[in-house]
Amino acid sequence: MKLIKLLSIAAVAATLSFGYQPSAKAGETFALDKPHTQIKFSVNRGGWSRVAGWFTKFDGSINFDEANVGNSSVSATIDTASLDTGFAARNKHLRSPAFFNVKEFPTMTFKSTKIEKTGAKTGKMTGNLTLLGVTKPVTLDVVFNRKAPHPRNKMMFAGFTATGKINRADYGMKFLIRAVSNEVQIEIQALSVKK
Amino acid sequence: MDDLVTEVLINGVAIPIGVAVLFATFFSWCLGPVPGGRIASAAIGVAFLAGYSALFTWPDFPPVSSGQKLVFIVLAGVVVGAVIDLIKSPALLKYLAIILWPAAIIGWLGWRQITNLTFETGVTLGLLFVAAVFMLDRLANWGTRPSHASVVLLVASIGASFIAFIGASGSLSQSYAILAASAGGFLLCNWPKPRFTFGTAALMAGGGAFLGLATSIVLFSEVHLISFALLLLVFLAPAGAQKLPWQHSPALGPIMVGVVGAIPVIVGTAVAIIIAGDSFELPF
Repeated sequence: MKLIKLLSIAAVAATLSFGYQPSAKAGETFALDKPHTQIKFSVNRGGWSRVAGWFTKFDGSINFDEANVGNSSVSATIDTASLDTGFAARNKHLRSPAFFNVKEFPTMTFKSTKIEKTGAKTGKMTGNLTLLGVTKPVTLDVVFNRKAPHPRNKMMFAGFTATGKINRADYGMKFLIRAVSNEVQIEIQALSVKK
Repeated sequence: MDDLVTEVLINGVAIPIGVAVLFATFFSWCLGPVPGGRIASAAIGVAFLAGYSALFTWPDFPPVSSGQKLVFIVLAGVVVGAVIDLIKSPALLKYLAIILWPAAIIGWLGWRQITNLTFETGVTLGLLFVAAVFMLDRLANWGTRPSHASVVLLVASIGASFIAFIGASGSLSQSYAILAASAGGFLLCNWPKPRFTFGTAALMAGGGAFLGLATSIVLFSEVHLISFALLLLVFLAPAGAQKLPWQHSPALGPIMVGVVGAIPVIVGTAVAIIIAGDSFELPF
């Protein structure tokens, strides 16, 4: 009898544990509004000045839980061939195997793993950045700018700014490492629209 | 910018030349003139690895990018080639290597393209394979006159370095410069008096490095392929030099090969400059 009772308890426990599914994220899902989102990078060139560039083709979504920011998540895919620095010859070099190697690695991806709130409108987002086939953790400082409906079309928009830095050598991008800084600064101005 | 010059000249040129001379001499000294002389040409691959890792650092295993895979291709070329050179009758193995080695290199570097094969990519890879077999076969053929094979590899690598640079592929240009310096270092040991054979190790490591970089140029860069293809003519330079005087001179024969080989390099570079036109500017 005891055995039957124990088996019953085990069966119930197993059913409960296997049947358990975490509740769907409470946040709202936003897609990046491409015309109003900028993904920019800059490097120090020989100590004289900084050279900036940006990507024009990307895709991404944000699951934003304003009440519990830790439940939020971000993922993005960037078309590396879409980089632009405002100078055709430099773009060509940056797309070559020496730098972004865009034919061999046409995309770079980011997927958040942890988001924590640090202030009323600020937070830190850690995630995995995959570039040139190498995945490394990256932490970005994030500012939540505003969430409000657009005055004309009434669609809900949320805007964020994210900044951070990576070392390009960590991803195997070592060409001209003495002339062009290893440290790459990243700035993302993201406007997202609720799906 | 001084750092940049130091980086290119020391890591990209001085180290490979020094290592090639040192290792060719070392192999010969350690193993004696016969077996040592047979595998001394492995020094080209060792020198390339030294220069490449000084400039770009040694990659982790398993390698991810074509540039990282190149290091392991050359390493395998050094080891397998040296073993074939040490076997008494390596002719069959050598000719197997000429067929199988390009297939292995192109297959590994172009695996993603092969698994998503389009007609255009298939034709490109096919032509690349044929060109690669031709190139290795010619190097093997001139290997009987080791300084001629070294000059061919040296001149072709210099040309490839120029054309890759004009085609906005700085890292590939530097890599070819390292290969040129490695072949040049081995040539220093073999000129004017030939001492060591240009063996299977040189074929698989040096020729393998040339082919690996060429595969990257064809598949992943914007280098103009017609100008690059002209470099294949460099591998016929010893045949062309046979019609010139001093072809049998140990000192002047290799120079004649270099002069004939320089013609397609100059033409290829000129074509690359003309095609690049206004878009050729230094990026930094």
